[in-house]
Amino acid sequence: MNNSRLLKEWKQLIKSGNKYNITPITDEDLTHWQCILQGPNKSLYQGFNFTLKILIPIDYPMSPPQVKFIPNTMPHPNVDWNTGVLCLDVLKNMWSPIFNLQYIVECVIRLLNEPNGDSPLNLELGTLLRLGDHSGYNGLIKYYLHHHQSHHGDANIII
Amino acid sequence: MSTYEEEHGTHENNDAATERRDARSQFQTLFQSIENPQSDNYLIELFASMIISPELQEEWLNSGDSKGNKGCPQEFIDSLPRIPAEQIPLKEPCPICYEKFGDDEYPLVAELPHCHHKFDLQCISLWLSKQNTCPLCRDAVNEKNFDDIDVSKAELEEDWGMYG
Repeated sequence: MNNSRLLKEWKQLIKSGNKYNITPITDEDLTHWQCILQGPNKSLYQGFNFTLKILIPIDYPMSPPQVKFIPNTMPHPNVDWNTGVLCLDVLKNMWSPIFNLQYIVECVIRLLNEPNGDSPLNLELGTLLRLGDHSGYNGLIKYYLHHHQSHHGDANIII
Repeated sequence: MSTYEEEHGTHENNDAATERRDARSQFQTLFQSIENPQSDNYLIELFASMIISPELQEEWLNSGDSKGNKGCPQEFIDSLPRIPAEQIPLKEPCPICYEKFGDDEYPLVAELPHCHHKFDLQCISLWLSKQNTCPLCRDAVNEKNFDDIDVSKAELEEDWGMYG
């Protein structure tokens, strides 16, 4: 069940153009995937690429996949900077077996556009967001991005 | 000299004895490797492998505050109404496994009593044993209508299986 469903997802991704570059890392089993995410337009992340690592559990889709950014690449209130772990309800208590990898990636993109100050994994950014300190918040994210990444894709190299 | 078992009048079964012997030899290897500084790494790796990863810790924490299993009782899952074969929409896919109902030679399709959403019986049974919500609309499937469902039907079906 696990593999045939993932195979279906993979075929569907190829057929639909796979606009988020979601690809399995290993060919023989479809348990490890990655996604090269482009920073959404008009967001602070525009112009930067981010790699998402996706690990499929044995009982997928009954359990959600584990999704994280490469450590030290994603400055965001709901992403732990040091581990890349992200806090997303659909990957936890709001998971449903009808969701697929593309939907999850879309949720991550939405999270980048709509950070949530209530459940911060990055306390600095979470606090600035809650205080409404926009210039501080934007400045800190830009600082992180420019000091730890260079433009266009180097995030993939930093592991 | 009498053995521990003789002195205490107990008899351990063979499995337990073998297991204990295995564990003992493993510990022996372990202590030998402590004396041998070259295999320090092995020891460190062994202990490192025993440390629970943060993800797993979180998972345990999450499963703890949900007051155990949130799934439906097995009787409820067994009593889910099934769609008669001639009414199954063969071209529609199961929302969980994405396979068309008709791809199965003998499709078994269940309909949730509360919201009438349809799934492969196997898929929805697996999900409902973990969670009591409909994967499509998130309604709790067994809260309101649990009493209305005719559980006797499930027993009837079991009888059919026995005699049929």
